[in-house]
Amino acid sequence: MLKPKKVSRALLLGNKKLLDQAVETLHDLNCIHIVDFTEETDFLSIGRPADAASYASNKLIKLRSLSNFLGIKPKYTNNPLNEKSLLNEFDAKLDELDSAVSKLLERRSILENEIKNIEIHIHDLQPLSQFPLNVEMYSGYKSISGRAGYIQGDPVDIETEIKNVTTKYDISFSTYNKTNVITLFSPIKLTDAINEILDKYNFSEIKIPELIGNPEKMLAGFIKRNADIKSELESLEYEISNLQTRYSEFILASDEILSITTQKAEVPLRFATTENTFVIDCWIPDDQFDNVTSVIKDRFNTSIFLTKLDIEKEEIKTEDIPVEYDNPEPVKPLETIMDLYSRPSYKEIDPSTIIFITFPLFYGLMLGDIGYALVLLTLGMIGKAKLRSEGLKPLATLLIYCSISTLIFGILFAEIFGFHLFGHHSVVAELFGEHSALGGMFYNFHALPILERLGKEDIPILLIVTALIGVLHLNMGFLLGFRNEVVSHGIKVAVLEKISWIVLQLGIAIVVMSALGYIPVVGKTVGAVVAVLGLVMLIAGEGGAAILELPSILSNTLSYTRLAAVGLSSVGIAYAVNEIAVGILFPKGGLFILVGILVLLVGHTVNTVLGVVAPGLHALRLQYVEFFTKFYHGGGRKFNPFGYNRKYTEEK
Amino acid sequence: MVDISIADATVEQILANQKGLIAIGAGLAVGLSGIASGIAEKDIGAAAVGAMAEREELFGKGLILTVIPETIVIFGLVVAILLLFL
Repeated sequence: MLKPKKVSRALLLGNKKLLDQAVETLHDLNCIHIVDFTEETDFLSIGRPADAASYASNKLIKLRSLSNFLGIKPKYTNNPLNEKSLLNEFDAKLDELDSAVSKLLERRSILENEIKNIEIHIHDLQPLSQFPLNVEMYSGYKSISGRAGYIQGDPVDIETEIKNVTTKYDISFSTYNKTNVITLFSPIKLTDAINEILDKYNFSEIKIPELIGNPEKMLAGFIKRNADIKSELESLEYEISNLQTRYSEFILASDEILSITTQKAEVPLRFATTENTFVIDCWIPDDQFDNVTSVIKDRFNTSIFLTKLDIEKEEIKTEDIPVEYDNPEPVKPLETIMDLYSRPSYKEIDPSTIIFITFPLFYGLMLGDIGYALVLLTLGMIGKAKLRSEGLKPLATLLIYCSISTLIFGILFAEIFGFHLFGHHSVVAELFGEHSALGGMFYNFHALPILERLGKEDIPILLIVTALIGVLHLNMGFLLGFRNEVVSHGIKVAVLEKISWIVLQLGIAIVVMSALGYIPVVGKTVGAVVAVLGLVMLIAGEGGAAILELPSILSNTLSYTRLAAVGLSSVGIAYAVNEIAVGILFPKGGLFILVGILVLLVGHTVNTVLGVVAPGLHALRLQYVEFFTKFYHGGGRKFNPFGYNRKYTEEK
Repeated sequence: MVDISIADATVEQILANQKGLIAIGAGLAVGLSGIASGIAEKDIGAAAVGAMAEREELFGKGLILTVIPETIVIFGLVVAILLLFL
C-alpha cells in the first residue's frame, strides 16, 4: 500500500549448456523482470536465439495470416486445451486448415476475376443487345468500317447528313437507358468525313467486345453466370465462417503456444553471454526472492549462481527501477486510473489507495442521487459480470464503487431522480398519499436530508463545505509532496517547497478569521507575519517565479466548488425534467400523460449518461490537476515479468 | 404599448424586474464562461487528439490538459448559483 512493491536487482550466472533449462525455469516463475543487455564489449556479447525461434515464428506467421483471413477474434474460453495433445496434432491440423483455406482462397480469387470480366462484358453488351447483329460482324472488313455508339440528338438527322456524303452506308438506331444508340457501317475511305458529322452529335463509341455470337443471347448467358457466381461466392463465405467456428479454438490456442515458444527462444537476445557462460541481469520482487532462490537451487543445485546487487552501491537511476503496484485487491481497479496518468516512480508514494477513497467520494458528492446510484450500480454489476477485457473490467468495478458512494450521498441528500424522498414534498407521499402508512412515514421523516440540494437555503453551505474539502485535499497533497521531497532531495528542500504552502495558507486563514471577528484583531498582524514567513520560505525554496504560482492556491481551492456546481447542474436537469412531466404534462391528462412519461424516460436517461461522464471527468480532474500536481511526478517503468498468462491452453 | 415608469410601478413589479435581471445575469455568467471554455478547449483538444494519434498512452495527459479550462465555466456556474440562491 502507498508504496510500490520492493524489488532487488539480481544477476544470474551459469554455463551456456544450462541456458535452455534456465529460461524454462524463469518462464515458469513468471516474476522476474529482465534488463536488456545492449552494450557489447570484447568479453561479453548478446546471446543467440534458440533454434526453435525460426521454426516457431514461421509457423506463427502462417497461423496469423490464416487467423487474419478467417477473422478470428480473441474471446474468453472456459476450457483451455491441453498443450501436449495440441502439439501432437498441430502440424497435421495446420496443414489441413492451410489447404482448406488456400483452396477456398484460390476458388474465391478465380470467381472474383471471372465476375469482374463478366461485369465488363455485360456493360458492353447491354447497348449492343438492342441490335440483332452478331458481335463479330462489327469488324474484320477490308473496305467497310463498322461501329456502334451513343449520340445526342435525332438519329434521322445524322442519316440525312450522311446521305449528303455517300449513299453507301447502313445505319440502324435504338435507345438504351434513354440515350440514342446507333450502329453505322460506311466505307473506310470516308471515315474522316463521317467522323466530322458524328462529332456534331457527340458520338461516343462503344467498345465492341471480342466475342462471337448474338449479343442478346450472350447477355442472357452472362447474367445467368453472374448470378451463379454470386451464389457460389456466398456459399464460399459460408464455408469460411464454418472454418472459423471449427478452428477458432485451435488457432487461438496454438497462437498462444507458439507465442510462448518464440518468447522463450528469443529471450537470449536480451542476455549477455561469453564463450561458455550466460549472464542474466534482472529485477526480482523481494517477496519472491526466496522462492526464486530455492527453485533455482532445487533444479540446478549450484551450477547456476544467483546474486543480489546492492542498489545503492550500483548507482542505479530511480527511473530505471521497474515498478509493480503493491495494493490490496479492492484498490487494484484504481491502478488503471494511475496508469492513465503515469505509473509512480519507484521511490514515490503510490496514491492509488488515496484516490480509492477520494475518487468515489467526489463522484458521489457530485451525483448524490439514490435513483441514479441504483441505475449505475446495476450497470456496473452487469459490466463486471459480462466484460472480460482486462482494460474494461476495472472500470466496471470502479463504477460500482462510485455508485455505492453516490447511493450514500443520495440518502444523505434524500434525493431520488431529482425528487424529494422525505418531508412535505416526498415523492413517496405524493404517490401513496400522505395519510397512507408508507406515505406518512416518508412525509413525517425530517432527519434527512442533511443538506437540501433541491432548495436554495443550503446551497451556500454546500459551496463552503466543498471549498473546505478542497483545502483538506490540497494540503494532503502538500504533505505527500513533503514526504516525496524528503526522500528525493532532503528535508530542507522539502520544508521550503511544500511546508511553505501550508504555512502560507495558515497565515491567510488567521487573517480571514480575525477579519470575520472569530479571533481578536491582533490576529490580523499575526496572520500577516505567518503568511509572509510562508512566502519567504517558498521563494527560498522555489525561487522568485513562485510568486506567479501564488494565485493558484486560491483558484485550486475554488476549483473544488465544482463538487457543488456539477452536482447542482445534474439536480437542475432532473428537477426540470420532473417539473415538465409531473408539473405541466400530467395534470392535462389523456395523451399528455404518455408524453410526460416519455419526457421522464428520455430526460433521465440523458441525465444518467451525463451523470457518468461529468462527475467522472471532474472527479478525475480534481485528482490529476489539483491533487497530483502537489506531489506526484510519475514516469515509473512497468514491471514486466518474463512469462505468459495462459488463456487458451494449459500445460498438463 | 404598456408604459411603466418606476414611480407608477408596484413593489411586486419592481421585485419581479429585479428577479428577471438576476436571471439574465446568471444566464450570462454561465453562457459566456461556457463559450470561453469552449474556445480555450478547442485548440487543446485538437492538439491532444493529434498527440494521441502519435502515442496512444498520452490519453491521460491529453485529457488533463483538455479539461484545465473547464474551470472557467465552473466558476461561471458557481457565480450563477450564488446570484440565484443568495
